[in-house]
Amino acid sequence: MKSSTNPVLLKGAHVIDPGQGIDGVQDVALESGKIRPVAGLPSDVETLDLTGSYLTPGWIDLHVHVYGTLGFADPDSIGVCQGVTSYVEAGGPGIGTLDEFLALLEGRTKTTLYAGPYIRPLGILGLNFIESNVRTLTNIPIADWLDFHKAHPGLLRYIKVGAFSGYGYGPNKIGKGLAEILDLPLYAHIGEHQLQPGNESAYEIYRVSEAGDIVTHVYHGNECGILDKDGKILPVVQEAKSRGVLFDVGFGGFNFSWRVAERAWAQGFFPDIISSDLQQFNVAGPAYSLANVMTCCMKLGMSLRDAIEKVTVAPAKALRMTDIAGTLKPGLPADITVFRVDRGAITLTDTTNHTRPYDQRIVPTITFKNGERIDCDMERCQNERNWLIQIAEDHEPEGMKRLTVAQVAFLGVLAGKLAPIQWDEFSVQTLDYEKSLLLQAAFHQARKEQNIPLRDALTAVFDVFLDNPFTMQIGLFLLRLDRGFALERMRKVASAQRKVA
Amino acid sequence: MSDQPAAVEPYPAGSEPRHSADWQVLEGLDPDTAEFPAQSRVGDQRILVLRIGDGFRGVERSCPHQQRSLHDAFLQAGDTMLRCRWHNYVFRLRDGKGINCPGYKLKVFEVRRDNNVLLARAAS
Repeated sequence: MKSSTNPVLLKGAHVIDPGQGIDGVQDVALESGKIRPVAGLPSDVETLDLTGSYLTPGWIDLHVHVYGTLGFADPDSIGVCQGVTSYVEAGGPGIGTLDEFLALLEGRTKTTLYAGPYIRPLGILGLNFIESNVRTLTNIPIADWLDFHKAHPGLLRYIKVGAFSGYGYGPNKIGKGLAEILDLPLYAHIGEHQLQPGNESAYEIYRVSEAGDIVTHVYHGNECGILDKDGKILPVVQEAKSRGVLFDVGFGGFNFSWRVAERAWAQGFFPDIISSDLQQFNVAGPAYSLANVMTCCMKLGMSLRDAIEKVTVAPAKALRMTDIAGTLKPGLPADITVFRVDRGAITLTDTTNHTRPYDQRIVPTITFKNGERIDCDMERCQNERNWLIQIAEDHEPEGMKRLTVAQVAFLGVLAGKLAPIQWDEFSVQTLDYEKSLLLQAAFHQARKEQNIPLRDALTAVFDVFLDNPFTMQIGLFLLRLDRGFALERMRKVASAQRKVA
Repeated sequence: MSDQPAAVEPYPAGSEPRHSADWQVLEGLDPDTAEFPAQSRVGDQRILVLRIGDGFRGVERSCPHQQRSLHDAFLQAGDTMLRCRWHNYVFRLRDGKGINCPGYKLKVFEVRRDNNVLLARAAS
């Protein structure tokens, strides 16, 4: 069933639409990509019998990584293929890379993709390095932020900030200030503090956040969490909750601990939103999917109805998008998730490799996106080509055959711009942030001189070095390449064309 | 240990000195009866011995990312790579290079069979 202008009746499912107080068997209708009233349908309307399934508004995952060093080659594999109709890229780009993000991904996914850019101009660096070094904030170009936000209405849904260390609490306040200037929620990451011993800046996040701001990774088990040493919810956390700060699961690769979640649950500290933080480093386990994270919340004691609320109307409210998503109100886009709840013994694993047995799980089966039916494929994301980014060092990727004359010429010029820049083998201990900015600047200089579209320039570089279409900040990508190998391959491509000419 | 010449995987007979100084016998590890991955040592280095197809490969026991045990890691990419189950960091068994985690390197060891004995040495 492709999206059609004709009406369609979805019949017999158990509908859960917490935003409208619906929880029971009833019919839902769509037409021309929108939800429509069931009344008035023609007698010969196309009908899909969903008896035995659940049907809900399309799920919203407000924390994923489809772009950047944590992203996927196949972004829809964690979106519409898994019942998620809208998601937010949580911090992959910053103001210095939002143009690259848009050039690569705008309009390229069936899943509606929003951005929650990082306060750092380059976006998330990933892979440990210097994520907490405040110097990587460099400058905060307020005018650029305002101009971009105005030029792309509805794209930005929050400003993401990590709990930076080393310079007091200023960085958190800068993030809050920027969010206020842009009239967006602050989305604060409080995890990964095992990598930053002594950094207590997350506590300041609880203090600076206001009603409507969101704290993610609420149940992480590392330092600087929501519990005190006796396992009690910290007063500063409880105060934040009381004044309307929202707490989000953000399962992640390090940030969901059964021990913490169970203790919080026992004290009545529940999440306001469920998100997955799906990325290259958790999709093959233990996160797997938003449905799996919802199942984990049910294991903790959450009802199915509440789990649905926290992936539909709750994130829609938090992202200020109830006019376009989160419920099945007639007139809204026909974004719908159909799923089963399968019974049977399963094991649920947290990010510390602790497990819990459970006897049911949520299994998405059909997604409707703007009325188009997509049959779910929960395994598609598991393909290692989707999450294992590797440089094609010993062969030439197929994508090289697609290069246009203009792209090849660009690569030749780019090699010339990069040649005077020395960069070392990638180091775990340090990241030459300044060098990544230099490489990015050389890329843009070559692109402007050759006058080719940004997307063409970006894909030219990726197609020369990657078998699969990953997307990331070009400065960071070039930095992770072996310099000698990278220059040699780009020169070889360019010289081959000159010989042909 | 037999001192009779024998074909030793992955080297053709005669192409590799059988007991050159840097090869070390992995004591107590019977290639036919041991369960793999199996723990062993090369000098002071604690290693895991993996069965790769008809052959073997050794790696250090902990992931260089956060020092988590690799005993339940996954073979990946046609058994040419090892994936730590904790954070899905993937390492190439040929040389230990971190594939999706640039800068990280896993220590890898050549492991060969000599009749009923396994021998190992650090991969160059």
